[in-house]
Amino acid sequence: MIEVSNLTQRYRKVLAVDDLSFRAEPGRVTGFLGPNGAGKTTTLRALVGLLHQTSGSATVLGRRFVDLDEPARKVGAILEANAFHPGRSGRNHLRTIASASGIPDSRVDEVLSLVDLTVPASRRSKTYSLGMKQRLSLAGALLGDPQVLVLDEPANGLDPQGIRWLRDLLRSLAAEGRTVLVSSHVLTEMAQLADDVVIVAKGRLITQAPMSDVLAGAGRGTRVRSPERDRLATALAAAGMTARPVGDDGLAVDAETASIGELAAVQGIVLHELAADEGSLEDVFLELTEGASTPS
Amino acid sequence: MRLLSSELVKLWTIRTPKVLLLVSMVISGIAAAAFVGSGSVDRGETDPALSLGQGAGFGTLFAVVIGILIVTNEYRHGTVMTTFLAEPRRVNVLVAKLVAAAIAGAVIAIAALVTTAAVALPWLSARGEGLELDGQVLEAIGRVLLVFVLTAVVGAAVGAIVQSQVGALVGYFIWIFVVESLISVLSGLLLTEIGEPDPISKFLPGSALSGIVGGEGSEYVLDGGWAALLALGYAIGLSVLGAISMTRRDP
Repeated sequence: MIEVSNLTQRYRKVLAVDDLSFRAEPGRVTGFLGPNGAGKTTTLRALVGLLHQTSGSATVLGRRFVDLDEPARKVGAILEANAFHPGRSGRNHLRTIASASGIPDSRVDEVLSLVDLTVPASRRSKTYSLGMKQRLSLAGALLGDPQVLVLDEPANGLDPQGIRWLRDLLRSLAAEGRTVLVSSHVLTEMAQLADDVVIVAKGRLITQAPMSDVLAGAGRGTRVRSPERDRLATALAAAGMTARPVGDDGLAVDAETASIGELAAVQGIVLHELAADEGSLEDVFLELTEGASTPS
Repeated sequence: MRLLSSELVKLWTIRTPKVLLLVSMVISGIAAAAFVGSGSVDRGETDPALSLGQGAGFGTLFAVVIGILIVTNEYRHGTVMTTFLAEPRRVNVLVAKLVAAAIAGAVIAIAALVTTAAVALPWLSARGEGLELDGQVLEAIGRVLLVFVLTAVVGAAVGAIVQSQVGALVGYFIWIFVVESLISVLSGLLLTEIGEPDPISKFLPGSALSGIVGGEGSEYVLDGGWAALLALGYAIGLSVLGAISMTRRDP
């Protein structure tokens, strides 16, 4: 369980995190979303005790990270994708972490197979692809078999198969009762991964909700195309449905597909397309963070 | 203990420390050959044990570099965050690194001594001058060990203060080769007659360290014992500054 309350972090004049509060529950994957510069990385660093001048509180399993006994056995974290000495092999990198936390070397081989990183033991990490580096980072986070995972952009640089693999792995880790907090700006990926979402922009909380609620809030409407768009628009307006033009011949209508289809049939209007618009997380996200995230 | 073993794994799983160790052995061998070959030992101008100790002392440059790398490699490559995840109390991390630096310094010292002995002893005995393992020789060995250990610790402390790898390396060498020389020249010009040793420069960190192996009888550096105490003081002082810097500045 992760609990952040009234967290504030200021870097000289910049307010990176502004009075942020949210929770991540055990047994669930919590997506931590926000545009670049929203304060996600700062928040995650504060959570694992890497920032020393922070106000408010960030606790893991009810305690501040720095107060935990055997922190590596309780919390695993990825904070930077490429935090390895380039001349050290991946296996030796994991050995340095294992020995610092009193974890036996045998666990190193276990996590390497857990993340499907099968490379010659002597191969230096600078020759790894970005995807392999992400797997190695994840292996490092899993070394202590922790109850809580804090992962900053773990999907960055993974190919589609890699992303699917990561999703399955994180879901199964959460299913074992672990708390998984994952930051990302790859929003579509989150739709299939996260149970809950925390959306931040400019260091402030925009919303925290179950993913299903957020998706449900994505204006569910109908997309329709017709060569007689203007006539259709007039007919829809007369029937009390609001429509706005999309592209050359399309309309986005705030109504069910059935009522639009029936109306078109009655009026004898030709339709080229009639489809329910599921509404993407991306739309919701842009809508929610609009205004809060002016480019700087 | 865990942190220390992690630091030793970190050292031994990259190439640079091994290369530095090898190069320092080569340099020590050349220095030993130069001392024996120059004939100053035969003429009785210098005490052979001390001269050989000074020869081995050239390798301290490598000890300081390893000390600096032990800390700054982690900042350079971002692994310091992983290290702080395993041990959030950064002072403990620094202590482990200082001890690892001391061990690395001792290893380089022993390698330098063995190389020096391997080059110098057969040569000396071929000329009929044995070097017995008497108190004087043991003292010289002790001094070499001490200067390497303290130099490596100073390197790690400087690394913790500066954190940037390039900054720490450049800063250290500019201090030793430029700043200390300037101070010595200036204080010599302003405070003493020409040709007299100046009163300040022998108390500077670099001179204190080199005084450990070469102090006796010279007016330009402190005597060995005092030099060692002063150098130890510098090592402790810099380590405290390093601990403050590491705690205050987030990676």
